[in-house]
Amino acid sequence: MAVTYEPIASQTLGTDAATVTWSSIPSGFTDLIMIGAAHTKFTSAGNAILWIRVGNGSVDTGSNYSYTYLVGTGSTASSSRGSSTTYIEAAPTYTTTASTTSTFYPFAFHFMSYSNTNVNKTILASGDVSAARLYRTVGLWRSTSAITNITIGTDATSIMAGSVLSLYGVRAA
Amino acid sequence: MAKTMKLIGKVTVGSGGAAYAEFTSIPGTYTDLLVTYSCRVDAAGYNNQASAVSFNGSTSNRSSRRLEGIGSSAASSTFASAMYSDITTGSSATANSFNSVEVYIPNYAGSTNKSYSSTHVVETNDATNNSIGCYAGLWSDTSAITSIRFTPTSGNYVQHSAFFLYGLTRA
Repeated sequence: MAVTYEPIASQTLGTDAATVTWSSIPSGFTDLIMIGAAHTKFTSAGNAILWIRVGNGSVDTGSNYSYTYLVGTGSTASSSRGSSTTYIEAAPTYTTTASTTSTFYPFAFHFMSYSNTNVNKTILASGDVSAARLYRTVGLWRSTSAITNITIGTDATSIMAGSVLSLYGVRAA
Repeated sequence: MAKTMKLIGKVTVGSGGAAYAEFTSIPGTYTDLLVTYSCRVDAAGYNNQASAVSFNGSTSNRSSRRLEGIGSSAASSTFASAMYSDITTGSSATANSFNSVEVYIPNYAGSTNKSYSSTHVVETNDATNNSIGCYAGLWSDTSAITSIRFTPTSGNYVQHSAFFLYGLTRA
């Protein structure tokens, strides 16, 4: 049986981290999928986001990203976007002031044709916080370079210990 | 090379229909679970049906939120004491049309509360009764998940509804 969903690396945070980075991602797959569950820390409880930056050789911090998302709050639905941004606003998360949490919220990021040097890179993202918001996002990195580096960050203070982020390679048949 | 996504259970609904679809005795040896399924119910109506989710037979400590677009508008709602995973077709919908659903459950055997994320689509070529949406669910219980049940909110699952459970292993 062909293996089409191969683990590349997984990080379970032992301590709080402002960002989580993958480097030297191999190019032998068709797509990449990152899935996991996270919670974030801030000076007050409330909504926050997970963001994505990518790059080749290093992470691109320039204004080379854009995104559009659909969001539900549990009472209303709306859509928003950002253009020429320095990251892709990918998924919702939630913050706490506590040092630990018993709830982590699932997310999935799909990096399409991540090593195809003929196309800009599209990223499909989903994230569901049962206590707050649901996101479905499409993001773009305006570069034809292959993705070898990925950083996940937050607009909160940090991604909490216990959060899990796993990267898989997907092969076409 | 590690095999990371393994089929560990399937439920296919026969000619008599089924009041629910359930996976039991789920081993705790994987890191995450993924359920993919396609279903339709025999209740009257079009797309106004849903599947409720329960873990380990529990109907307590469940909550969920929904985000849904139906082709002309989008809406979101909160369920304070129920978990849902989809919108599906009823008996009035276009014949032979089923929904398609994916449910991701991270860290299902861990000691934290159990969250899940689901995405569904229903396309029936009907002018007003289609759906694309998602649910965020939370079972505020730290028990390892050993069984998962999907139950129509009305009626029974019809023949050819099919549910597949995969175990994921990360690096």
